Amino acid sequence: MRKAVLTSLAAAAAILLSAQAYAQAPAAPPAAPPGYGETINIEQAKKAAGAAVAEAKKNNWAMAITIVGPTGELVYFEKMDNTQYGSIVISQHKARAAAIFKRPTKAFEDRIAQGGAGLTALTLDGIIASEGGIPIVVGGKIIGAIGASGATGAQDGQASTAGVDALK
Amino acid sequence: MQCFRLALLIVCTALFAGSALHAQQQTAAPAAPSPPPAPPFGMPVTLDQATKMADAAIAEAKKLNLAVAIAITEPNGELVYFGKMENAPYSATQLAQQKATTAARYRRPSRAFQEQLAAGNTFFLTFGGVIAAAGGLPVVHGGKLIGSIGVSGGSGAQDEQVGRAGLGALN
Repeated sequence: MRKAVLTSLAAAAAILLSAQAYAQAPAAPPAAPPGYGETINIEQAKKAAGAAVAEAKKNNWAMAITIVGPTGELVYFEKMDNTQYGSIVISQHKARAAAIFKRPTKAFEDRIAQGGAGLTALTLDGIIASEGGIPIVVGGKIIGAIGASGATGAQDGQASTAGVDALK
Repeated sequence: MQCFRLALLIVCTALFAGSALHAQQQTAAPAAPSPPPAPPFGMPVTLDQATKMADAAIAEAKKLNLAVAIAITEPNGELVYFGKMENAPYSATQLAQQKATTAARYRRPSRAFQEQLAAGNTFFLTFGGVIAAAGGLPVVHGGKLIGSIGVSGGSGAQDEQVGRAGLGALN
């Protein structure tokens, strides 16, 4: 009887300890990103870009919208009238970075904003630490990415999201 | 008097020598190609105009059973529209943009450089950003140069045909 009590006490302690350890453990690593699929075709690209441009128009923003394939190669591009010229290349850069790193460019912005070890992101080739680039996932595969530039980072992200959602 | 005559002789000789030299220079110089008269610049092509042109160009490419890339730029060569059809070669991505930039910045069809090189005017090879291949065309609307269209993916002649179909949608 005493042995049983002791065992259950030990078990309870072990559970408590492991639960504590679990609570202390760093956040679970992000789920593995999806694999790459076939390159987005021009009809899909046009649909996504059209939705992004519509979102920008609705809000009175002038933007450049880029759609790339999984490797970051250009598939589609539209520049709205009066978009600042700097945004042409930036939208392409955002789309490319989102595709080749399989994550939204906001992830880099957040990482660098943390400072410290997060700043190592600055040494990576091809990143851009500015919101507005998002991978396009269709059928569980990354078929490309969209990049928007012309307004604030959050607004660029809003237009890109509209583009991604158009293919869902 | 003699002095005056001598002076006259010297002047005449100098004039003669000068004109002879001038004539020699004229014959030695290569026949420089005269640029076509360029229309004045207008407001850059709008996105609506660009998509209209691209749609017509892509329809023409489909008719020809071609997979092409289409680039439309402003007169300064800055990109306004780009579309790459499925299975168009990756080389077309670059070439379509370069042809468009050539046509825009030099204000003439990119075919002109192909012809100039064929004619032996190889100095064009030293010009920056020149693509000596057909498929890039200036976009002139209302008598003004508003941009360019560049096509790549077929033969030079086919690319230009696709580009012209794009121009047709605008005018």
